Amino acid sequence: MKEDPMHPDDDLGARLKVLLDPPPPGIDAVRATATARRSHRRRRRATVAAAAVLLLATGATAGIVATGTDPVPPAAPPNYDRCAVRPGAVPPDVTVTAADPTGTRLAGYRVDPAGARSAETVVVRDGTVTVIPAPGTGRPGTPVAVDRSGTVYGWTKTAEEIDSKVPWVYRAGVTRRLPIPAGYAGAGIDGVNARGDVAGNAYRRVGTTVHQTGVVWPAGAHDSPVVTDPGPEFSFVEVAGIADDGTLVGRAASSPDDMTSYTWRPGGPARRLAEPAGGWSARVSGVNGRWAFGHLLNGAGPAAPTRWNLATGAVETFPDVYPSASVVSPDGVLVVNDPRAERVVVVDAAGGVHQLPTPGGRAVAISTDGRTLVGSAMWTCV
Amino acid sequence: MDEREDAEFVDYVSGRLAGWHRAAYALCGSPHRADDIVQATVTGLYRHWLRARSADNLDAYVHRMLVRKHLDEHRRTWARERLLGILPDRPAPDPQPPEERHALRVALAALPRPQRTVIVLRYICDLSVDDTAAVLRYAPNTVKSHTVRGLAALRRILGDTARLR
Repeated sequence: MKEDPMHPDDDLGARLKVLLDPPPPGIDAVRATATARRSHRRRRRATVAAAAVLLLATGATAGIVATGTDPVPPAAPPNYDRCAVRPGAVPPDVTVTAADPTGTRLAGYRVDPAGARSAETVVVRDGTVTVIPAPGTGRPGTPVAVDRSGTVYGWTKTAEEIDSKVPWVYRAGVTRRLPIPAGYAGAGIDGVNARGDVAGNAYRRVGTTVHQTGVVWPAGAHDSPVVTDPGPEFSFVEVAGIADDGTLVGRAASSPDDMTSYTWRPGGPARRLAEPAGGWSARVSGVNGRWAFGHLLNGAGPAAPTRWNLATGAVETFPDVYPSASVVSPDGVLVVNDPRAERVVVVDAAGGVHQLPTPGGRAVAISTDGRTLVGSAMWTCV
Repeated sequence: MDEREDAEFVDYVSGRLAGWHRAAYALCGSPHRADDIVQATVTGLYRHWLRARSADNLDAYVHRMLVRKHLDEHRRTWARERLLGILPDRPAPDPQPPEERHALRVALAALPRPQRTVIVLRYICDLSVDDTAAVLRYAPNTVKSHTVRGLAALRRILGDTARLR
């Protein structure tokens, strides 16, 4: 096979394979095939969606064929058994509460040496801390989201009561309050989607009871908040987040003791999120891309982290994982903070469970590519 | 792909994955990046499996994919490193590397890419001159000259051929 008239005596070549002695592969055929299968399905769905967009954009009715001939391979998904803490990325005196989609611009608040929360709201980049102005003298702000341009969205309580919440946006050195809907005393931000729609909850007091409802500050019209609820039959509404197409996720009920998880479009009908088998309900906590997350509630309280695929309506629970889901990636990677083990646990798209290395037991954000997680530390995964 | 075709795919990959990983490792010098290259190759092969499995020389087809994935991975890694300022993913030196293995890794990494690719395909993947030429779309004589120059450069870089005999 290897006859080579120009070099018949290649002793060195013959010994290369033996001498190279590589470490064993970190993947096996079954896992590699499972990853390939998932990637193939995602790609097929994306091709169909792109073809649909093209049809809509051109008004064409025939003659367009989705060929899927793009030769560039998708990057391999992150391996959560190969994550490392990046030293110095999160200063010890900062509690991070949000990060941008790349995981490089962080936001949070400063804590004093005793661990108590100070009044300083901060952004962090490459380990460098900058204090940003936030409304509410002497009270810390809580950043909720950071977008790709570095704009920070958050809220500050100006008093003890929840209806004292003030929503704000920090951009290019300036903090601006978002308007509170007419008839309400305060409002907080709970989610921002990729196009810049801001979603949260507005509060008003009726006698001694605080009522809340959903509110959206639409992208490009942040000065014109829109009150939204899933329907007139719901007296109590709690928005948990907003998907990239403007779909809201949250809970609603006619009484605060009977809250159920829904998705809805402003002005559109509500759709009840699927409930896990077993007869218990599940509480939705947020959304990212087409995935929502939360936890299963049994009679005793939170019982298992849960994720919903909003495209298919499917629900999954993970009863062997601590029931404290923190965030989900656009690909469905579920991040869980386990305070008992002081570890961050990741449930990958296929349902595999991985523990991230210490130090650091709390993650609050995951980058869009799933490779960077941020919280009490910054983890990068290959 | 139905269940039978899927099982056939897993069987094919199972028998060859270690060899692909060895080749990827020889090309890039990092076990983790070798995993990524192999995964990208498996993903690409899965997408085209129904057509690829009837290829005249399936192994050569996959080796061509692997070399391309290596080049893609190399470009992507560079882009990422520049963007984030993360140190390049070089193989960490073993605390006490066996002298020959370490010397070989260094010498392979120092070869010009065409020579290294030809050496890896011929001596790590056991491909013939003609198969290597088919994979890289080179003329057979080009493969031969890269082989001769590559081996000579390896000997020169290693400095002591006796070490490898």
